[in-house]
Amino acid sequence: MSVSYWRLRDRYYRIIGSICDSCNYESFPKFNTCPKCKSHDISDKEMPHTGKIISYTLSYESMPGFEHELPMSIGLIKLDNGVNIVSQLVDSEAEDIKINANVKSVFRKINADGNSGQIYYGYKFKVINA
Amino acid sequence: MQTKISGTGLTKITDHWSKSIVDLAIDSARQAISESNTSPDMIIFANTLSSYSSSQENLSTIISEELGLSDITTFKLESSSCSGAMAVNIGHKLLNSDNLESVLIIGAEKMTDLSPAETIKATALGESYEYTQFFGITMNSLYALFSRLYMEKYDVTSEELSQFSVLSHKHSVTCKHAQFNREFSLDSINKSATISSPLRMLNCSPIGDGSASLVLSKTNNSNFDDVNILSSTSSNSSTSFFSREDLLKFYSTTSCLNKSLAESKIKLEDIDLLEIHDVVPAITANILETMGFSKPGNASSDVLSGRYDLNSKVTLSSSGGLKARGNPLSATGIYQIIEVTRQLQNRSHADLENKNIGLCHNMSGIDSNTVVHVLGVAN
Ligand SMILES: [Zn+2]
Repeated sequence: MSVSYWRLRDRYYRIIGSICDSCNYESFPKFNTCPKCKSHDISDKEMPHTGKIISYTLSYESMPGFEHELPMSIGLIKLDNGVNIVSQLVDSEAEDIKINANVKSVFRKINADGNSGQIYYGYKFKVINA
Repeated sequence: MQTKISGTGLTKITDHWSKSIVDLAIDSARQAISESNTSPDMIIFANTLSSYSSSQENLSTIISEELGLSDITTFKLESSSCSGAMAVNIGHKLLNSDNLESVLIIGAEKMTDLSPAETIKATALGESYEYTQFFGITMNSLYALFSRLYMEKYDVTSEELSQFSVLSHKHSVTCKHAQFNREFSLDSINKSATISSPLRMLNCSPIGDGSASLVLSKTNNSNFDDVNILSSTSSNSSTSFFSREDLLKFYSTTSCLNKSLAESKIKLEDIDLLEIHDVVPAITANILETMGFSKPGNASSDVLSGRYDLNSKVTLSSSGGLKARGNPLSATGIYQIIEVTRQLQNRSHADLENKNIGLCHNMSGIDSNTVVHVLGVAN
C-alpha cells in the first residue's frame, strides 16, 4: 500500500480533489476528464472541510486491518461546495449522527502495516454544533 | 439472425469446500456443452475475483484445456459483478459479426476460500481502491448509505423493504441449485443481526461459490425449445453512486431499458419474467421503479400486494434472485439468463404458465455498469 499512499498523501491529508478549468465543476476524488463538460483542463482544488450528513450507517463487518474500528460509523457527506464524500465518522455521539447534522474533517490514523510497519493517515469527519 | 440459447449448465450455489474454481467451471460448462450438442468455437470466461481468491489468472486457457478444447479462441472477461451478463453481451455481438457458430460463456466465482474479512474486501474490489477500500468502506456500507437515501426520499421503512427478502426466500424454496431452500418470516428478517444499518443479515445477498454456463449459437441443436436473445444492451455510469447529480437515479439501467425495448421491439407490459440485480431491498425497489414496473416509492407495497409473486403477471426472481438463489458475482448474470431460459422452456423448478418474455438485469456496483437481456420463445 505504501507507494500509492505516498502518491496520494496530500489528497488524503487535505482533501484535495479537482476543479474543471472550463466550467468550474468540482469533484472529489480528482478526475482526468470533467464529467460535466468533458474538458481535460483540470486543476487540483482543496475541498471545503465542512459539510452536512445526507446518509449514514453503522457497520458491523470489516475488511482486513479495520477490525479494531468496529462498529464503524460511516457518513455520506455533502461538503459545503456540493461535492459528496463518503467518510468514517468519529468523535461523535450516536444520537448526533443524523441527516443534516453539521460535520467537519479531522486528521486521523486510518490503518497500519502491522505493529511496526508504516502508519497511514487521512481524513475522517466528526459532528459539530451537536 | 438471432442468437439462440442452446445449452445451459449450473452448479448449486453453496460452500463448495472440495471444489476449486476450475472444478466448478468444468462442472457447469460440461452440462451446457452436452445440452447444446455442439462444440464451441470460442470460450469467454467471466470472473472477477480469481487473482484475489484463487491466486490464479489465465483461467480461460486452463479451463479450455481441462474441457479438452484446443485451437479455439478463449479469454477472460472482467467487469466486476456484471461480468457474467457482459460476457453474454459480448458473445452475442461476436456471434453476430464473426465467422462463429457457437460461443460458450462460463461464469464462475470461488468466494469461500477467503477469510471472512477478505471476503468483505473481495466484494468491494469493484469500488475505488484509493478512496473506498483504503478507508475500510465496505460494499454493504455503500448499499446501506443508498438504502437510507431511498427510505428518506420515499418515507419507506427498512422493515417494509424487507418484503423483498421474504419474497426471494419464498421463491427459492423448491429451487435445488439455490443457496437457500427455506422461507423466512418478515419478523425474523427484521430481527436478524445488523450488518450495516439499516441493512440486516437477511437483507443482504449471501457469499457462495457457484458456476453457470451457457452456449450461444446460430442454430439450436438441443432437445429444448428455441429461446432467442431479443436484445442485449449495456451502459456504464459513474463508478460511485454518490458522485451523480441525482443520487437515486439509475442512469445505466434507464438507458439499457430504453435501448432494450427499441432493440427487441417489445413493450414493458409484454415482460412476464424478471430477473434483476436484487442485491439489497432498496436497490431492488429502485430498479423496479426505474424500469416502470412499480411507481416511485411503491415497490415494497407492491410486493406485499402480490404483484411480483410466482403466479402473477410479472414474476420477480422465480428462483430467489441474488438474495436467496445466491450471488457468486460473475456467475450471477448467467444464473439469471438460465432461470429465464428454463422457465420459457417449461423445465424450471416452478412450473409457471403463460410466460413468453423475460428480462434479465445484472449490474456492477450501484448501477455503475449495467447489462440487460430480453429473452423470448420463438414464435
Ligand atoms: Zn467541466
